Amino acid sequence: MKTPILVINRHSHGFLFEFGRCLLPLEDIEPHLVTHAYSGVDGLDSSAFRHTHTCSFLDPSQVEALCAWIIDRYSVRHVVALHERAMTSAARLRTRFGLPGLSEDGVVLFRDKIAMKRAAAEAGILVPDHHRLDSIEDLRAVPLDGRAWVMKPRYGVGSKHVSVVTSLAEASERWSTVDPGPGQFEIEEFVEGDLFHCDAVVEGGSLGFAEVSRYLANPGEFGPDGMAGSVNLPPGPFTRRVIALTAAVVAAFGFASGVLHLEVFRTDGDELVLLEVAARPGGGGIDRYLSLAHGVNIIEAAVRVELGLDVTRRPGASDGRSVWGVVGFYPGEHAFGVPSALFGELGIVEHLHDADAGRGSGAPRHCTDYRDRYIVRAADLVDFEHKALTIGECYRSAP
Amino acid sequence: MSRLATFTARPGTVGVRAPGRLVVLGASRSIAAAARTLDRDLVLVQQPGSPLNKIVETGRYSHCYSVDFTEETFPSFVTGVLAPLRVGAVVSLTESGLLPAALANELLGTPGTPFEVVHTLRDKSRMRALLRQRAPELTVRYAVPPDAMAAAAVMKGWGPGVRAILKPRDGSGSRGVCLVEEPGSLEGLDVKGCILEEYVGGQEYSAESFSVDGEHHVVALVEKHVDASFVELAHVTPPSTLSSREREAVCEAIDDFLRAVGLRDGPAHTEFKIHNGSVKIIESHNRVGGDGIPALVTRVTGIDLKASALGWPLGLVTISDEAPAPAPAPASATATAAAAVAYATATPGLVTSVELPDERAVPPGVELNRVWTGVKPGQRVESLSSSDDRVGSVAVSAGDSTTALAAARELATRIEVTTTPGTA
Repeated sequence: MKTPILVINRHSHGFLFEFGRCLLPLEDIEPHLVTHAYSGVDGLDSSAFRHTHTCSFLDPSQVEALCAWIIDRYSVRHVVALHERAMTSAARLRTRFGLPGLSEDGVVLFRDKIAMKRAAAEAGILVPDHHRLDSIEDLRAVPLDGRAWVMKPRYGVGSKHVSVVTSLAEASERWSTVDPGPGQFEIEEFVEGDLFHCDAVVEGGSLGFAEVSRYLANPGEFGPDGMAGSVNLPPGPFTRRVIALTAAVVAAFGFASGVLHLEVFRTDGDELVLLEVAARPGGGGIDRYLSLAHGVNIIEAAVRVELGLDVTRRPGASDGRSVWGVVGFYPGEHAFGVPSALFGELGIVEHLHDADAGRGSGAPRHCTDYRDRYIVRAADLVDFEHKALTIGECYRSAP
Repeated sequence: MSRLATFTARPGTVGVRAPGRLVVLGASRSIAAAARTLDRDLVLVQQPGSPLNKIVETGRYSHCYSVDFTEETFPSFVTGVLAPLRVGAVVSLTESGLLPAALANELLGTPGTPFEVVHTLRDKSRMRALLRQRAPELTVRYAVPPDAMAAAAVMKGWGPGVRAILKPRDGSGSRGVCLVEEPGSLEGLDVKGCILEEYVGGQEYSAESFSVDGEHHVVALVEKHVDASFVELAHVTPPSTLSSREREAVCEAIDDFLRAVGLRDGPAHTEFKIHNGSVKIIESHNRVGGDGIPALVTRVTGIDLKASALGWPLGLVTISDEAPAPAPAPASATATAAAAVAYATATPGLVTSVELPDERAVPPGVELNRVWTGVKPGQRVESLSSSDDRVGSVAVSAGDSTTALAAARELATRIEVTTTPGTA
């Protein structure tokens, strides 16, 4: 008999597939899928996904009521959530029903940016100076003296509603515009430096697969006509430092199993400062280049680790020298695309176009809301940067 | 008194407007589409494994749940999941969903046909018992025998030459219905869960009615044609075989029947025969008729029975009770005088080819409304024992019932499904 599992999917249905191959181990499990009607059932095979529910995610209590009924009715054994916004609901359900995986207490460290930094700091990990904001009065306690600070939602996702401020007046105006409730916002020191991310698989409290990449642009700076992405770094002393920091976070947070996406600054003084860490696969095409390069699909890994199964590793195309990455373009007025005839020359091995990016607004909604996304292979980092620049020029050139 | 009614289904003039979402159990594509014409957020509850991509409304947060609403656990779904959604009413137009919908409405305190009434209509022995008590002239003799021997004894008691029908107490779609020629034929049959009824010969019809606060409006009468195993092979409205006096008698009988079973609001599909000048009820359901009957009714009367059946509990239905005569008359500019649907069958086996009728085969004066086939090469056709075993249909409209029925039947024979013995 197949193991009944609950999958809360806030992505499109295609997120659960890699070129037609389902990332869920359907031969072992009976999935009970809770998704949405935007693109959550596009291409859905009702014989493979017999128990599919679409609902509104605007009210988490409704989603959790449905999930609780499914868990109870079908004796569900595992809860899988792959989207940041579904993490807390999944954790609450696991705790309520005594299921394995990230609990309600554990998820707080990954969702609450203040608790996250506090726990990391207590373990000796460098984090930006930060303050909880309950009211506009709290801004007065922040040394807004010309230095840059970042205001952001405490439980935010995808760099939405993130802004850089340099004065009390600017911060106050921002506060008044957003008008968040008490405890919903924080302000943290702006860290100068390059931003990196580590995508890792954790099993039995230890790091397994782990890859370090560098962001091409700070995710907080996404906007119309912008370009962003990541490139993975060849192994070396720096990547080992980042992986060691990731391991320290895993230990500090008591994270037993799952997939992590950790973001860290490297300052001009060569210090590593933790920005954020999420207990889910990295988005925006990171899964694609990691899968192509190393044969590890981190979405699939997240599911399998959650179910207590071994992580599948297929042969990857990486030769240990070349680098892989993603170059993404946000919706805007200068989005023309790269002619496919140039793909080979520019090292483009995969292209994804999302006509729905921006949902008609002409602007991205979050930092991975790409209209076009190119997976690129290059000989080395210099070659990658050159290719990324050329791709950007081609993309913005009218045909 | 029941009357053939002029009746429209546009939101908003009659009835109490109840707030909240509309929940539909077991919607087909056409039912989901009809529900979306109503001015309410829709919640669909579908059987697990039902295809969702053509049912779910994309591009917005629409609720669609895969839940077996016939299971004992359904009440926990109602109270745990549906209750927080601010539900206005739970409706089903499919046979298996009628009782669960009534149960859900009782649990949620929302309007709908009471559970007891639905139970009476679903359980043919309860219905017969109630009719024997309250409207004996509408029923036939019946029994719920514990075994075949008892069934044979009952049948013998009805006298020589009386034939009987043996069918499931809660069946539909002509499944499991068999004609018993004489008591000896019952030997060895499994009669558990069945009702044995006295068979009455003659033409069978259905009345498509809609009730509002105890006033029963017969919207249309439909003539039904079945094969030897009682599978429905054609419907035509209005019937060509009923006189105006008979139609009036039918309307009165339907009124008496619906009062007897306690149905006060909503649709009913009541099957009946006229036997020795009196109406005999075969069975009835608190839903619209299946088999494409609502489309025929719309063609002839302009009335959207599906939207009405879905919207009435929320007060989203308009009734006009001004039709003076108990006769079917076109109620809109687009209505035609008669409409018919006929079904195609095929020899059991593996489908090798499917041919549809050429439009040039449509006779003059006949409008082809729909051609449908439910099989493809490679699929298997079973022997005809229920509606599900039919392979296609043709719906037409015409200036009179005789012409419409003949054309639909002729065109249905041109749905040529070729099969070969064997399995897929």
